[in-house]
Amino acid sequence: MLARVNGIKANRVLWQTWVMVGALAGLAGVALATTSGTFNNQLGFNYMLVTFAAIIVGGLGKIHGALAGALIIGMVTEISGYYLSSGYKQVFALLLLLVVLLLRPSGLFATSATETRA
Amino acid sequence: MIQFSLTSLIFLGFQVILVLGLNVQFGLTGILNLAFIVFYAAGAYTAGVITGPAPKPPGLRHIAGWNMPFYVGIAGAMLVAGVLAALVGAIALGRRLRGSYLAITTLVVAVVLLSVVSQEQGLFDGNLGLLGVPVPFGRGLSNDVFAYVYACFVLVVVALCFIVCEWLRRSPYGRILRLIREDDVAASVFGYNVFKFKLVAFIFGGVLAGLSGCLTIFYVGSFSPGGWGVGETLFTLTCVFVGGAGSTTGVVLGASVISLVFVQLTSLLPTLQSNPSLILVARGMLIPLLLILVLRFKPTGVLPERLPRLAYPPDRPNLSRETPATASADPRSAT
Repeated sequence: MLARVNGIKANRVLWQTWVMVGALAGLAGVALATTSGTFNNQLGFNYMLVTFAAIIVGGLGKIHGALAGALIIGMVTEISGYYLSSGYKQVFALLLLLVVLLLRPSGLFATSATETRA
Repeated sequence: MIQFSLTSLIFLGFQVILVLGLNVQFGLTGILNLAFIVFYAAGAYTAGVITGPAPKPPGLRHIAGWNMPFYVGIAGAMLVAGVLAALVGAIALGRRLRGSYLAITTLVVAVVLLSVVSQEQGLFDGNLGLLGVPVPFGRGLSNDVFAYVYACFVLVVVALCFIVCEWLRRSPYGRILRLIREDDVAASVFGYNVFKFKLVAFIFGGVLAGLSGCLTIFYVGSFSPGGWGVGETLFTLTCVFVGGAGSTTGVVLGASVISLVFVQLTSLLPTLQSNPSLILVARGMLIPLLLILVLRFKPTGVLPERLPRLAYPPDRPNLSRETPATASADPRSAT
């Protein structure tokens, strides 16, 4: 609302963001498909929660936070899968997300623990 | 055909109880709980353990089986589902997690629990699930008679749940829950302990879900992780949205229409030899399409929430008609 009052075309900015998000997600899909070699229509859903986990652990709205969050979540997933049953590897990433949400809802790399209103 | 109708009605009963529970959490209090089906599973597994046969170690390694009568199973299922709801609610509602954060937290809880239960063989036999849970009302009844008796039993339970939910919705307590849904800051300014009210609504919904799960396992006789994926929560949420969130009759209508017309009646359609799964796929597309259409053209649902009449109407009745939600939440009439 405030943005609209100040003459910013909010819908257009939103639309541009959607286009960028779609393009980036498509790029990630290409990278994934060329790496793993197989692909089906169920694959995306597994990545969605883990992606949420990565951005929230890193801190919403921070690019380096998202990078670090993705790295942390990825390492936790694979290392716990190595030491314990591989079926549990996602569980540990999601438990890490729960712990971060409860202790520091604004993410590990946020400058201040701001209010997490959505 | 009669058997088919009875089975459809019994499953509709399970779905109606679920939807009533989710309506208290989401429609009345505004808690977007994506882990709702977990409480259904908790009820089903508890009832299965309490009334089911003891484990036979090489194949079936579930945690216990006590062979107790079915009413103990119902009580235990509701109790365990309520306790689990209290635990999840204390975590998810306590830290002032709002909106999408709350949704993500509950979704994570659902995925983690589903993943653990489907892989721990020693808990509830992993992906196989609990099997051979005996039917209630003795073994003397034939299948036909049992279907009639069980349909009546489910009908009575559904009616009881409906009455309790409608009573809760009209009560001063329900009014405070709606106030929290509309503006929880205002509610806390008026001195209500928002966390406590939300937690009670959360537990209430969880207990109803547990009841539904326990009735399901009594009728089907088995329960496995395939029955409580995240998609089941979304299906129940679709019923709430289509019927009208917050309106008890509305969500019952939503559940009836979706369960009977879209799920049960489509299974009567002739299957194509060339593509036997076509109906399943079509069902998977039609229900979300219905949700999108309802949200686009009638966002409040088919039967929108109608607020109960106030015992002490506010001074300006015209205003209350224009903004019903805030008017009903007027704390002066809460006591």
